[in-house]
Amino acid sequence: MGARRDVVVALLLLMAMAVLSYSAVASGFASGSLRPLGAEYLERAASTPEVVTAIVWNYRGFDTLFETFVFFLAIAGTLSVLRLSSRQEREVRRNEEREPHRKMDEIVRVITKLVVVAIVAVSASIAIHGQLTPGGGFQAGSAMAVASLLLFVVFSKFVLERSGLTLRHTLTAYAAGLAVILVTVFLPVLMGGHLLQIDLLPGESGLLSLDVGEYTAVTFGFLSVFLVLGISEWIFKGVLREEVK
Amino acid sequence: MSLGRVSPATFFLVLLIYLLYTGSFTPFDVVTGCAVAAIVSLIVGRWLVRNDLKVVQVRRWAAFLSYSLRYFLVDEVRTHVDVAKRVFTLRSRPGIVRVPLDVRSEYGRVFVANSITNTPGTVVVDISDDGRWLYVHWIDVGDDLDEERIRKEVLSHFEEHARRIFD
Repeated sequence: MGARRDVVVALLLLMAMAVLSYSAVASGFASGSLRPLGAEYLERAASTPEVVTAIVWNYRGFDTLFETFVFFLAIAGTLSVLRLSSRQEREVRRNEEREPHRKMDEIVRVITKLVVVAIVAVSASIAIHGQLTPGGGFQAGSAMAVASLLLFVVFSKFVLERSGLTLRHTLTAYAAGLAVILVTVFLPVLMGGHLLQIDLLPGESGLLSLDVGEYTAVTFGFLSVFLVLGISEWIFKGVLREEVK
Repeated sequence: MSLGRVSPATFFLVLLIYLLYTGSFTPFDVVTGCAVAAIVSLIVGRWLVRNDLKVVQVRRWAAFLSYSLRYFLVDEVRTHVDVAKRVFTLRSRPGIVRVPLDVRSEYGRVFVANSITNTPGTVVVDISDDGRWLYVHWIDVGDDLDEERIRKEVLSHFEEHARRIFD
């Protein structure tokens, strides 16, 4: 009895999906022509053929800019709560060397290697083509955060740290990303325009550098937080307790 | 960082993924793609590809082609029909078997494991740390637990192809 009911439910769901998708297509939901609102934004846009980008980096440019700063505050907050002096950092390293750590099995490791490299290529493409797609730096940086998470989970954060990547490096890269964004935002002022008037910059370079800056900032912002959060709680609090003694 | 560590195969792999994802082939795409590929291959070094010569050997690609043809046209169809029959007859004797695996390269071992998982009726659940045993969930284990027989039925032809492609 139960089996027959399952079949009926499955068939009904399939039919409902078929009707829905047919009606969506038939009603002209995705028409080929550009609506007047979109055309208006494109006309005012700083050299982008993409409507969403036109809105995000012009009409809502400040919104996106302040989003970057909200993210900056979040990272700065996290790092100041979880800060370690360089002596404490050395002590954490010493303790971590004694920690047993384990990689996942070979199949997962090999697939993850390939996937991580693919994610890096795809995210770079999203960031560099931010002026053409509704994507952009933040989305690309989030994709990179996924890549770092995969590395952490499947290999170990020690793989990154032992190949020479430390919190100092990731924070420097994060700051460099923010610097690129700030320069791009203020450069139009020096050129006689107003803040964020990036259509004064040659061609699409304004959008490109904003996207690449955002990409770098988000990638390394997340990575910095992951590196700090990846320290075992036991070790971290043990080191902090030393301060009181 | 010396240039001897850089793998050309990794460079072209990253460039290919970049261009495929971007979906266009303008000079801007090629230049930025090459820059990205160069940075990535400088960072990852020999992590992905240890021996670049293997990538350009034609007989490996030929082995891969013959594997694909046989796998997708014969093995997949046969096992799909088999599992489809089992859905209606409800005849199955599921269980997990340990199968010896003899492939030297890690890509080869993963290739065998993924081929098994991709085949209806069998799923790889684990691989031993030394990479010499696969634990496979099989829809039709039966009573005869002879290792050689199981190896023959489940993975021997995958293994052969994996060795010809990757070892």
